[in-house]
Amino acid sequence: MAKVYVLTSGKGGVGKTTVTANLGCALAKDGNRVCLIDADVGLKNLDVVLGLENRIIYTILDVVNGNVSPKDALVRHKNLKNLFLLPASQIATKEMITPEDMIKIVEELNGDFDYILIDSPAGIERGFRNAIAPANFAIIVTTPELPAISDADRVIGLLENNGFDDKNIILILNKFKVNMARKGEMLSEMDVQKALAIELIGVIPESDDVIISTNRGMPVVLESEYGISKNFVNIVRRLKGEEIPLESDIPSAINFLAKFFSFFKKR
Amino acid sequence: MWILDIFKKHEKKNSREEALKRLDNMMSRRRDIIQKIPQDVFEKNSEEIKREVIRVISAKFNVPVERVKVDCQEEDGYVVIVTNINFK
Repeated sequence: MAKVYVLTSGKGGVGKTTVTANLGCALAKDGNRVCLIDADVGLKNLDVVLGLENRIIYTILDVVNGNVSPKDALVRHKNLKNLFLLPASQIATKEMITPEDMIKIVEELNGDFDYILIDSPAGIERGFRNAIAPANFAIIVTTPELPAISDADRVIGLLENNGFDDKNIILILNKFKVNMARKGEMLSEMDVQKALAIELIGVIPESDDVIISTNRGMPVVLESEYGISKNFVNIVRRLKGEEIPLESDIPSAINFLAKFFSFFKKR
Repeated sequence: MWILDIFKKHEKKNSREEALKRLDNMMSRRRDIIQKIPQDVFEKNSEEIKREVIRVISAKFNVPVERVKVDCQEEDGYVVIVTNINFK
């Protein structure tokens, strides 16, 4: 049986799709069979971040309409043979898919995978309800800014109303500006965790590497062993129960030197 | 002009404290978790639930219970509680 995670947030632009793609790749690199489902119907992006946009033949709408089975609609990743994507449809609307459809799709895929990650659309409307319906665990993605934290809190409340509790809701803090937090100019990772009162499972510092890797259609986890790709590996290890301190997600002066020397290695 | 810049930087350094204060304020206003009530339980106890809602509202807004009117209606599978409070 697969562990089914929904990656969600209240506010858009916090990096759910990037986190889903990288986490999926990190899990697949770790030897797990992984299926990513793009539930952001109408505004699909997960295929673009994974560099699979030209390989799509069927979408989730074809599955819902009964044209193909969920397994037939899956797109295999170019580099990772154990990573698959069920793409969203750009022409469909969220109302064309129901929570029951999503539950049925996940049930059919369940036996073939170790992990199923569902990329939820932002907001709390139908798309959100579709995305959370089949999930056993929720990962809240937020940035350390007040509007994103406030919306994340709202989403946690909605998840709790839908049967989730603090044991199966976890938090990833994305686009964390280490220098600003050090100078006391923005909220720290502990401030955000304290406010939302759920387990913080990873901190992803803001990085230019993400933009570059998205441009290439190759998630950053697959391009490098250093920098923020290490953070996704840490998240995977924490998901599997290993105790890795959060401090290892935040670059220190020593890490800066390692980065400095890796620059020369790359060249 | 550079003297003014020093003060600007000083203001910027307090932005975390300002954000923390605002965050605490936002979180203190968050709504309590609302437990979902199955429809059959609701139908059996609707009068009791209405009485409890009236009691909570009258305590919250400091108005006598007779000035609070509560009605329940079903909409899209959810129970909507309609309240009317007479403050005068």
